[in-house]
Amino acid sequence: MITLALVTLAIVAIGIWGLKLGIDFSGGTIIEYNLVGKPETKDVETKLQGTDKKIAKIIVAGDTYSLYFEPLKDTERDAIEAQIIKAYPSSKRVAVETISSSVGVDQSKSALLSILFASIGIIIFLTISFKKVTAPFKSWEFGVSAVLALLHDAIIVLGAFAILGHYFGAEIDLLFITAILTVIGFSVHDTIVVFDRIRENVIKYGSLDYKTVVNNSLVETLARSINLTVTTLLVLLALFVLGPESLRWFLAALIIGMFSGTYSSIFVASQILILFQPIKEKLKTLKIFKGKKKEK
Amino acid sequence: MKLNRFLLWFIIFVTAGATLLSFPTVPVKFQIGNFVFDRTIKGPNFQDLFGSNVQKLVDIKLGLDLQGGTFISLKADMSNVADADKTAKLEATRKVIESRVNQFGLSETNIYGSINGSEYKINVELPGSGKDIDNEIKILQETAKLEFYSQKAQPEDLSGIPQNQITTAMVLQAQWDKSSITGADLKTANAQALSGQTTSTVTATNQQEVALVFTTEGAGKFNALATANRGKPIAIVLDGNIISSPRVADDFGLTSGASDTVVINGLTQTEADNLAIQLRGGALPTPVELIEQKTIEATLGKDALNKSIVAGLVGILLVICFMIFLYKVEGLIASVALVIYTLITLSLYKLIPITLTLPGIAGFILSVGIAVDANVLIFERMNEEIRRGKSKTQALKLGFERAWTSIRDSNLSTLITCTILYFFGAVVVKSFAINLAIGVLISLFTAVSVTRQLLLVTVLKKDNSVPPVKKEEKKSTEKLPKTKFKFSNLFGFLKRKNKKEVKKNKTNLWNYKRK
Repeated sequence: MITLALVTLAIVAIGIWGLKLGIDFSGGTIIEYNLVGKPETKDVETKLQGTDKKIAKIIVAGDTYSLYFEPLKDTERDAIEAQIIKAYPSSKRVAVETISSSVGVDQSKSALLSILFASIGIIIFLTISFKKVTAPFKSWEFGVSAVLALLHDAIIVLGAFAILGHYFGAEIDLLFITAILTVIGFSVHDTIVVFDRIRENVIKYGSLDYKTVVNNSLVETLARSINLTVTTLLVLLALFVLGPESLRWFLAALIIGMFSGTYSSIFVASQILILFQPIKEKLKTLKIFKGKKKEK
Repeated sequence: MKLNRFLLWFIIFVTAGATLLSFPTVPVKFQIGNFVFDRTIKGPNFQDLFGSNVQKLVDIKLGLDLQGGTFISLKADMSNVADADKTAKLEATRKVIESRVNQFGLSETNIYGSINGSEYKINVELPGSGKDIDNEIKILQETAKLEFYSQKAQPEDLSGIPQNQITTAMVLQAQWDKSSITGADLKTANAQALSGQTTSTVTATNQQEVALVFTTEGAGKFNALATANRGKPIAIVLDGNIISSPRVADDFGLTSGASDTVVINGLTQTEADNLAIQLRGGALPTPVELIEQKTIEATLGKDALNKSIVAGLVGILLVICFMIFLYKVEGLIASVALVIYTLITLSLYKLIPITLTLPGIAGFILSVGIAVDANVLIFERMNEEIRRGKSKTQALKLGFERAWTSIRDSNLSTLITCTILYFFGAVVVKSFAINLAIGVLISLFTAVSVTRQLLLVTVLKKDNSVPPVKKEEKKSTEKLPKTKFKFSNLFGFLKRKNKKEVKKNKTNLWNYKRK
C-alpha cells in the first residue's frame, strides 16, 4: 500500500510542477561563463537587458553562470557574448550549447521510444526464459510483473525530479533519460534475481501454497539484494561526492532509481505476481457461474 | 570441479598485459610532516619503446566533453533534391565541409554524415573551443555559391520603388545578366595582401584581398565575359550578395594577355581568409543549417576527467573494503577479481578503441557495481549451502552452479537494455550503452571464471572437510571433461546440453553422499 501512496505522490508531483525539460528536449541555447567579479544574478539580468533576446533563466554553479535562452542563431549569440564581455571584461567562456527546437522534439521522441522498446524487450525476454515454470504461475506473468515494477521505478524517479526540478532546478535532459534506462535495466536485473529464486523454488517444491513459496524466496534473496544495493551505492556515492559536477543530477537519478529498484523488486514485483492468482481465480468462478446459469 | 591451470595462467597473463596497458596516470601528492611526496605514477611509455604508432593505439581516446572541443550538427536542406539523390548529395556536401575543415589545419577532426529518417545531417567534431571555432563554424555554414553577373544592356529602372524595399535579388534580376561562370570554374582562391593600386575605399583594416584563379576553361569563359564588357562593371556575387563589382578596364585583353585571375579587394583579414577557404572548398551542394552545437572548454573537460578518476578509485576501494568485511577471505578474492576486471575493461577501451566520455565513465562505473553483484550472488549461495551442511568445496561448486542462472539472466537483461539504448539513443547515450555493455560482458568472465579459479586455488588447499569425500570427488571431477564444463557454463544459454550436464553432476554428488 505504501507503493500506491508513493506512486500517487509521484504522479501528483509531476502534475503540479511539471517536468523541467532541459534544452536537449525543449531546444534552447545555454551560454556558460565564469563571470569576473561574481555578480548577483539580478545584476547580470540588468546588464544584459539591451539585447532583444530574453534570458529565460540563470543558474549559478560554483563559478559558472549558465544563461539560458531560446534557440539562438550564431549571430545573435555573438551579440550577447559581446555584451557579456563588455559588462564583465576578461570573463572566460566555459561552454556553449545550442539545440534547435526540431532536434529537441526528435530527441524527446527517441527517448520515449527507447523506454517503450526496452520494456517490451524485457517482457519478451522474461517470458521466454521463464517458460519452464510450473503452474499456477504463467510465464508471461513474470514479464508483466517485472515491467510494472520498473515502470513504478521510472515514475518514482520522474516524480522525484519534478520536485527536485521545482526546488533545485534539476533538469530532464538526455543524460537523465540514460539514467532512467539504466535504472530500468538495474531494476529488472534485481527483479530477475528474485524471480529466479521463485522459479527454482516452485520447481523444487511444487506449487504448494504459492504464497509461501514466494515469501520464502524473498527472504532468501533479501540479504543478497541489500548487499548488492549497498555495493553499487558505495560506488555511486563516491562518484556523486567526488565526481564532476556535470554528472551530479545524473547520479542523483541513478541513486534514487537504485533504491526504488531494490524496493520494487522485493515489494512490488512479487506482490503483483501473487495478485495474478486471485484474479485468475475470480475469472474462473465467473465462467463457472455463467455456465450454470446457461444450463438453467 | 578441477582447477584449470591453463585458464589460470591465461588469466595471469592477460592481467599482466592489462596492467601494463592501462596503468592510470595518477598524480600522487601528499605531505606528512616534512615528508613531501609529489610524483606522477605512470605506466610504461610506449612511445619510447615501440614508437608513436603503438602509443596511439594505447592512448585512451577521449570524447569531446573530456578533452574539450566542439560538436556541431548541420542539417542539410534536401527540399530541392530528389529522393534517389539524397544520399549522394549528403555525401557530396560532407566532402565539401570536410575540405573546408581540413583547411583549418586542425588535427583530430571528425566529419560524418548521419541519416535519421527524413533528416540528413552532417556532424562535425572539432578540437578547440575558443572564438576561432566560432568563426570556423560560420565558414562551414555558408553555401558559398559564386556567380558572375554582367550588366544588362537595358537595365530596368528601380527608382520607382522605395529604397528600403529593394533587395539585392531584385537588383540582380532587374539589372544584371547571370553568366555561366560559377565557383566550379575556380582553380583556387588565395587570400593575400593588397596588390595593385589602392583605391579610396581602402582603409587600414581592409588591406586584404582574395585572388580568384580560374581553371583554363574558367579563364576562357571569364575572358569572354570581360572582353564583352569592357568599360563596364562585372558583379561578383556570393550567396546572393554582391561582394564586389570591379569595372573592366577599357583595354582589357588588348594589351596584356588573357587573364586568369580576378581580384576582390577591400576585405579585412578575416573576411579574406573566410572567403578563400569557402571558395577553395567549393560550394555546398545543399544549403545547411546549424541545428545543434556543444562547446566545452578544455580545462573544464580535464577537470571533469580527473574528478571522475579519483571518484572511481575511491568507489572501488570502498567496495573492496565492504566485500572483505562481509565475506572475509572470499571477499578479498572477489576484490582481486574486481581489480582484474577493471584493468581488463580499461585495456579493452584502449584497444578497440572506445571514445571515452563522461556518461561512458558513468556506464563503466555502474558495470563495476554489476560485476560485484555477480560475486555477491555466488557468495550468498555458497553461504547458504554451507549453512545446509555442505563442505566448502561442494558449496563452491553448488554456489556457482545455482547462481549462474541468476547472473546469466540478469546480465542478459542489462545487455538488452544496452542494445536498445545503443540503437535509439543520441551519441551521448550510445557511449554510455557501449561502455556498460562491454563492462557487463567482461564481468561475466571475471566474476565467474576468474573468481572461481582463484577460489579453487585457495579453498581447495584450505579445505579440511571430510577427506574421503574429497578424494572421491577429485576422482569424479577428473572424469568430467575439463574445459568443456567451463565454456558450456559461460555459453550455457546457447546450448541446451548444459542442463543435462548440470543434472548429471548433481546426481553424481548425490551418489557420493550416499556412499
